[in-house]
Amino acid sequence: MGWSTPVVQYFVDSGALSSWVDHAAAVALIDAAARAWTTPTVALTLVNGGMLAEDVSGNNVYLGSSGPIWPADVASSNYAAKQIAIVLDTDGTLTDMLLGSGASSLVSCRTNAVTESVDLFIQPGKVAHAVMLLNGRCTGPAPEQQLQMQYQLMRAFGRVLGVGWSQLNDNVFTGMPAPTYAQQQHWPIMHPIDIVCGLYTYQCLPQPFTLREDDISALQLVYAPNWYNTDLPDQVVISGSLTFPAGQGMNGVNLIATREIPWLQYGKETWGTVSAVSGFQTRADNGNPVTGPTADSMNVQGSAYPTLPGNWLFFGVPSLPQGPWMNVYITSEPINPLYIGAYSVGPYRTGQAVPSGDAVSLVYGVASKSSGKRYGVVPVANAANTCAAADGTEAAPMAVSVTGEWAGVLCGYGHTSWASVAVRAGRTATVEVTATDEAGAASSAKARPVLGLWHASDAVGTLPTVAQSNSVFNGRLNGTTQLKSAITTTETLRLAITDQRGDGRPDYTYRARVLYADSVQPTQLRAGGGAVHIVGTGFEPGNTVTIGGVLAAINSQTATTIDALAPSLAAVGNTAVNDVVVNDLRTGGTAIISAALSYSSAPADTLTVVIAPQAAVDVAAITTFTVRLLDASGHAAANAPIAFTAVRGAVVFNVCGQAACTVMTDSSGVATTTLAAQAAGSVTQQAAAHSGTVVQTGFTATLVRTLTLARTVQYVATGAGTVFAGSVLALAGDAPAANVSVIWMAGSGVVAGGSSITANSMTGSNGRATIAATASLGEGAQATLQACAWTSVCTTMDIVAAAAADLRLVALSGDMQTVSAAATLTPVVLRVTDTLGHAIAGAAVALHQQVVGWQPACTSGRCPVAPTYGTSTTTALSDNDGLVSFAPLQYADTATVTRVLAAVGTQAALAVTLNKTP
Amino acid sequence: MGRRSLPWCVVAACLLLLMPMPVWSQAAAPATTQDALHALAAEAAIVFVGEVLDIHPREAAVEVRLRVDEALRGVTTGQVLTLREWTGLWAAGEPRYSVGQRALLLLHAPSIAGFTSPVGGADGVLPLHGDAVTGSVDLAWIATRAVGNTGMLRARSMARRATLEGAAEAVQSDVADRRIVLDLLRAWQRMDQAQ
Repeated sequence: MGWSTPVVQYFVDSGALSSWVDHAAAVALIDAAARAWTTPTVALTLVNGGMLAEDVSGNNVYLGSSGPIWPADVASSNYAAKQIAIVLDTDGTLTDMLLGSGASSLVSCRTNAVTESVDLFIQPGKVAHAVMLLNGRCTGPAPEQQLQMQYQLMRAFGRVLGVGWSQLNDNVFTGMPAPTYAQQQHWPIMHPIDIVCGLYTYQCLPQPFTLREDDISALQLVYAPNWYNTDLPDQVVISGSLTFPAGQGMNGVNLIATREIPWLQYGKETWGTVSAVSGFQTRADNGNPVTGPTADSMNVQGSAYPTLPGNWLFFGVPSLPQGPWMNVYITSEPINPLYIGAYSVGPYRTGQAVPSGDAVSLVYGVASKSSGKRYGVVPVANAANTCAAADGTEAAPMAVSVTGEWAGVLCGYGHTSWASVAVRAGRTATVEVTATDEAGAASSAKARPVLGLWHASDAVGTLPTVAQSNSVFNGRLNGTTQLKSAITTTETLRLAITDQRGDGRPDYTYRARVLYADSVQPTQLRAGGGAVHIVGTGFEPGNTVTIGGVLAAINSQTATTIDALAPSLAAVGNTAVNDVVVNDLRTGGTAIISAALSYSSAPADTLTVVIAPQAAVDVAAITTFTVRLLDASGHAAANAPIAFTAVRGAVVFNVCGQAACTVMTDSSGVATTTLAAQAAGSVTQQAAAHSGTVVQTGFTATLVRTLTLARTVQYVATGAGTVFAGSVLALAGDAPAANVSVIWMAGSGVVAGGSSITANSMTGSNGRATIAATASLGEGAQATLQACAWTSVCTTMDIVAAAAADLRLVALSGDMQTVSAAATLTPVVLRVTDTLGHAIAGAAVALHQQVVGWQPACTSGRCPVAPTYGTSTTTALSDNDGLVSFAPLQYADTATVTRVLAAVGTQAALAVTLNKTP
Repeated sequence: MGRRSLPWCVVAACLLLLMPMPVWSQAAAPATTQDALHALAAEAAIVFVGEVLDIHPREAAVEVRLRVDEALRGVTTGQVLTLREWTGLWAAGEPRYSVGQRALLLLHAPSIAGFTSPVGGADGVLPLHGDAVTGSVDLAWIATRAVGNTGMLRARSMARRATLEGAAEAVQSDVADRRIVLDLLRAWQRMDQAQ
C-alpha cells in the first residue's frame, strides 16, 4: 500500500534531537536517510518540506480522551499539508509516554530509536499521514550512534513508504552457509531482523545506506499504479502463480531471481538479486469460524480474492549490461520461520507454512537493456494433491467415527472441517488435532488448527458457544492443538477444525481425536473395589485410569473400551463418590466422568436368574444359563460384564469354550450362555457382576445309562422248558457299568413254564449280565422278557418259538474231518435254525453215532463188511446261537470211520462221516 | 553407575547467578541468548506467562486483555490484565497479538498516558510451545539480539529449510524448557532486588 500523493513531504521538529545532535544535524541525518528512497524508476518523491511549527515535546503533547493530542501540524488531520511529521524526542519523554515507562532507555535503542506510525489511510487504500518519533537518548557523542540512528530511520522510512520486509540472500542472517561479500551487498536493507556483529548493526553489512535492487524492486511494485501495464526500463517483469497439482495457489513460498550471462566469462551470479513471495496479495488474516471474521475488513493486509493465492511478481529484475542476453533463474525456498509477526515476510503473519513438493527451478531468457514481461503458471512437482475433504458442512457435520479418531485435510482456501459428536452431561472430553505433513508426521509448519464446539442446535455462523481453543499448538505434542471441554448437557456437539489464518491447502492434513469416556460399569462397587468397564472413544495404548485420583490397573483396552481394576474405598481416601478419569500422559488429554463411581458396603445393582438349567442334566448335554443385571435404579444395566464360572463341578461355558467366560449384558441387561457338564455330579454355576453381585444355581449332571440286549429277538424251539439265556450290556456313558443289578421279568407270553420269572443278575467288569431262562411256547407263539437296571433303564427281548417242522441243521465245522489213526477227531459244531436262518435256542438235537473199521476202497468184486467198533445215541440242546457241539465217537490209534446222524424237529437230519485212516 | 550430568540450562543458570550483573548500554551488545534475555528482563516492569483473551481497538488505544497464568513481576497470577497499546503502533496493520496467543511477556510499566508495550518491541513477547507441564519458551528471536549467536541460534530455520519437514522439528536448540526459563527469570529478579 503506497502513499496517496506522489510527493511526500516530511517536516522536522524545530528542536534539537539531543545535546549531541542539534536541529541542523538532525535534519541532515533525516535527509540522508530519506534520500536513499528516492530512485528515478519510482514515481515517488520523498522530500524535506521544512520544519514543524514547534519543538514537539512533553510540553505540547497532551493526553486526551482519544489518545495523545499532538500539535496541530503534527496531527493526522493536517495530512494535506504535512504528510510526515518527524518528532525529535530529545529526552525520550514522548517515547516513554507512547510505548511505556522506560521504553526510551539505551537498552531499547535497537527497537525504540525510531518509532514510526502510519496513522491515516484514505480510500482507496492509500497512506495519507505518518508520524516518526526519533528517540534522542539513542544518540550520543560517538558519530556511530548517529549513523546507527540514520540506518534505523532509513529502514523506518521504508516501512512508512509501504515496503515490506524481504528475504533474500538470507544466509547473511542465518550464517549458514557463511555469506560472501557479494551476498552481503545484495542483502536487502529491508531485511526483517538485523544481525548483531558488534556495537552497531549498520556496521554488519556493506554500504548500509544504499538500497539494494531488491529494495528498489519492492518500492517499484508499491508505486506502480498498474504494474501489468507498466514497462520498466532495462528491467524484466516476471510474474506467475505457484500452484498445487489441482490448481490451487501455493502461498508463502519465497522466490529468488538470480541472473546469468551464459558467456563472456560473466556466468551466473552467486547471489540473489530480487525476491518475491507467492500469495503476496493474499490477506494475512482470512478469518475463521472459531476466532471470527478477519479484523482486516478493509483488506489493508491483502485480498481474499480466490484467484490471488499463489501469485508472485518480480517487479522487476534489472538487466545486466555486460551482454545482449541474460538468463534469469528463479528458485524457491521456504520463508524463514522467524519472519512472522513484526518481522513478517509474505502473507503468513502468525506462522509460516513449509512449501509442499519439490523446490521450483525456472529459467527465463531475456534480452539485456530491454523491458519485457514473462508470465507462467507453475505447478509444483510432487506437491500434495488431495483436496477432497469428506468432512461435512456446518449445517450437516460429519459424524465422528466410532473409534473417535479420524484424519482429514483443510483444503481449500478458507475451508473448515465440521464434525458432530454425541456426548452426555457430566463428562469432560478432550479434542486433539495434530497438523501433519505430506509424510503424515506431526508438523507445526503446515496447518495451524484452532478448534471450536457448538451445540448442534446452534444457528450456523455464530462463534463457538460451548468451548474453543484459539491457541494454536497448545498441546503437549508437536503440531497439536488441544481443546478440553466440560459437558453439561446430554446432546450432540458440533466441532469445527479450521486454520487460524483462515487458510486451506492440500498439504494441511491433520489427525483428529476425541478422547471421551461415556460410561463406566458398574457404577457402584463394594468397599474392596473391583473391576470396572469403561466405554468411550479415542482410548490409546498407554492411557491410564484414575479413580478418585488413584491409579487403577488396566487389564485390557481397545480404542473404545477399557477394563480396569478399581482401587478400594480405603485407597481413595474413603471418598464415597469419585470421578473416573482416563489420562493420556503423552498428549495431556483427559476424559472425565464426574462422580461416576461410588463405593458401598453392598452392591446396589441386582442380578437375577432368568433361565436356569434343569435339576438334572446329562453329562455333555447343552443347557442354558441366563441372568439379568439391573442398576441401582432398577434399570437394565447394558454393556456390563458378567463373569460366568462354576464354583462346583466341571463345566464348559460354550460362549467362550472355557471353564469361565465373561459376557456383556445387552440393552436389556441380559447376559446368557449355554454350558455343558463335563462329569457326573453336582454342578453349581455362578454369574457375577463387576459390582460383586453374584447369583448361583445348580444341577446334577448325570451320565447317560443304557442297557443293550445281546439279542433283541431270541428264537427258541417249541415246547415246554426250552432253555435260553438273556444277556444285556450295561453302559454308563461310554463305559461298561460293573456290579449293576439287572432284574429280569417276564413280559407277555409264557416264559419259564407258564409263570413269571423274576430274577436278578449282576453285571461283571465288562458290563454284561446274563440269566438262564426257559420258555414254554407253542408253535409260532411269542413272549417277551424284560431286563431292567438302575430302576428305570429297561429293555425287552422278544422270544419267538419256531415250529418243529421248521427246524433245520447246518454243519458249521468239524464235519469234513479225515485224520490219521493216531490223531483225534475234533468236535463237530452244528447250528439249529429255522427256515429263515434264525438261530434256534433250546432245540433238542438227537445224535446217532456208529464207528466202524476203516477199509481201503473196494473197487471190484465182493467187498468185506467193516467191523463195528461201537455206537451211541445222545441228545444235545442248542444254545442261544443255535449251536450244538459234540465230540465224535472215536478210538485211539485205530483206523475207523465215524458215521453221525443228527436230527432235530420233525424234518431236519444231517449225516456226517469222519475218517481216521491208517 | 555413572554420574548424571546436569542440564546445560541449569548449569548456565547457576553460573549466571555467580556472575556480576552486566550493565548494558548501546556500547555493549549481549554476548549470549541468556544475556539478551537478562537485558530485556531487567528493563521489564511486568513479566508473566499469559494468554490473549480478546483485543479491542479503541480510539486512543488498542486494549488487549490477557489472562495471567503465571506471574513473575508486576502482576498476580489469575489476574486479567488489560494491556493498553498506543493506537499508532497498530496503525501499520501488523498483527501484534492474536486471540489465543500464549506467551511469556516482558512489558514496560504503563506510562503516564497508560500506554505500555513489550520490551524490545516484538522480542518482548516470547512464544510458548506445548502445554504448561512440558512446554517450552521460544528464544529464537531473543537469540538474534546476541552478538555471539550469529548463525548458531538461527540454525532452526536453516535446518527446516534443508529437510523441509518432520525431522527439522526436532532441531530447536533455541527453544528452552519453560520451567527453566521462568526459574532463571526469578533468580535474576531476586539478584537484581538484592543489588
